Amino acid sequence: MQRHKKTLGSYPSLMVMFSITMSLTVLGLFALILIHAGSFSRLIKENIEMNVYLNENISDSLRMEIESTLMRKRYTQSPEGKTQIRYISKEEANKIFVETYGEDFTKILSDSPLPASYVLKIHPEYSDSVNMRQIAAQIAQLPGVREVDYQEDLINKINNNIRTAGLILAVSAVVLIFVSVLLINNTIRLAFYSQRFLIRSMQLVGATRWFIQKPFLSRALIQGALSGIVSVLLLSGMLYIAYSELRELAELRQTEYIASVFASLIVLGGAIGFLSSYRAVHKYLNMSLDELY
Amino acid sequence: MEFSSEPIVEFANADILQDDLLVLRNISFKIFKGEFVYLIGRTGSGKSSLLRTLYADLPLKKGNAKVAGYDLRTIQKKQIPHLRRKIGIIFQDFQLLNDRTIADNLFFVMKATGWKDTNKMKARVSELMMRVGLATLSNKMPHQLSGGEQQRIVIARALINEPLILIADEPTGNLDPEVADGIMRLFKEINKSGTAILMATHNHQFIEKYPTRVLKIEQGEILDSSKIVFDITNPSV
Repeated sequence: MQRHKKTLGSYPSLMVMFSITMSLTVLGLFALILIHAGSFSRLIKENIEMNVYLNENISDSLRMEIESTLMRKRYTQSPEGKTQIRYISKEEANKIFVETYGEDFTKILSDSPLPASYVLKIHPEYSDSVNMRQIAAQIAQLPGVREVDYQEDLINKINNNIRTAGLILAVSAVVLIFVSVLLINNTIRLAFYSQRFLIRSMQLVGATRWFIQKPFLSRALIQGALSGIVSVLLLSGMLYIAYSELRELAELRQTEYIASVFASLIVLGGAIGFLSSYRAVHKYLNMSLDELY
Repeated sequence: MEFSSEPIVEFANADILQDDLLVLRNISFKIFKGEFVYLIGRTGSGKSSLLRTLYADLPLKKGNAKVAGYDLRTIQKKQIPHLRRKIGIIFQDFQLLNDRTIADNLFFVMKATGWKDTNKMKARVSELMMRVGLATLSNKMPHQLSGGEQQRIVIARALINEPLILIADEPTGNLDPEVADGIMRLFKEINKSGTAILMATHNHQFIEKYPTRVLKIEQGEILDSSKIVFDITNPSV
């Protein structure tokens, strides 16, 4: 005859593992999207440019004065400390225009109407709309500056989208974790129900609460961590496919962040398993077992 | 018969409640080391509630009670397992685990109550199996044993931690008279070695054949045969 021991703490583990794995995978997916969105937005922010158009016939000394003023500002420095100012003379501006649009003003007009300008790359820290507006207003005050121009909408859109996406992801993650905790709670309730005679026996012979809950907790911890590992494998697969399909995405990869997300998922899996089963085990241990019948 | 001065069980003006319903009011009694006491009373009279209060499964809210040195009014949750190790519990609904051998059943209780040394555990199991007269059956499964043999194992299980008192609720309820008598003799033997026994029973033949002190629950009160004379064969019992 095959003996089938009712080991304390055993319960339909596949169901619990499946649910933790699912929520961790979605959570991890969110984190990965956040990481890539973050490096994408940083890439864009680092490349945000401001055009400072100069007056016609500006003297060289005034132009140099403007240039040195701009060079001293922190917002024209790259995060690495390099000054990011590019001068575009009237001739160059005309050349770029011809290259882009194929029309040459100088053929019709005696002189190009395009003014000389400075192109500033703005430090990512100053890329929000308030700072950009202030910087533009400040530069516009400088003598010899005709106009300051930048793409205000794009920056606003990027900033808003990142905030909205972050909020949605955070809310979804909370909901998913809540669902996992609920599922673990129900599964442990079922386990207690199916093992109520065993637990009652232990209580009657004088087993301590710790002795009774230990197997539940250790199992939940291991299963949670295992779920974390499974979800890391799933996410690695997804990343591999995504990177090989979208080469540009691979450029946004930040290996250290991804590694820490993976490590956190395993720890989080263990923690979710342990804490929610701790909660459930305590709840049912405090209950008279007759109430479970 | 002489007993040591400190009682193992002492209830003083205690109310026994089940789900906030008063079952027994203002009861007082003592049980001393080495005593054998029958607990009788009709079904539903409150025997089980009294026993459950005794091993701290039901809280004591009014009056005082001490069991094996633990005050039931002030006992803390974490102390309850230690109280229960000093009480051997033998119940009809507290049977052996059918999925493991007799020896494993006993090992299970030992592990649950803090036994660690495998050699000591094995030695204790053989000692107990000898004591209940089933030395050769430790590798059998519970279903391979007769009802009487199973009940002997349940008694062995209750004796593991050398309890001060055994609490037995209808221990011979399902057994035929001859086997039941064997179990009763085993209880007597255990009692002789100093373990007190509180046995709830409906079996009046036992009380006549092995007369000793009787506690009778009647109309929410306890009558004590060591204090007053009453008729145990009252048909209401």
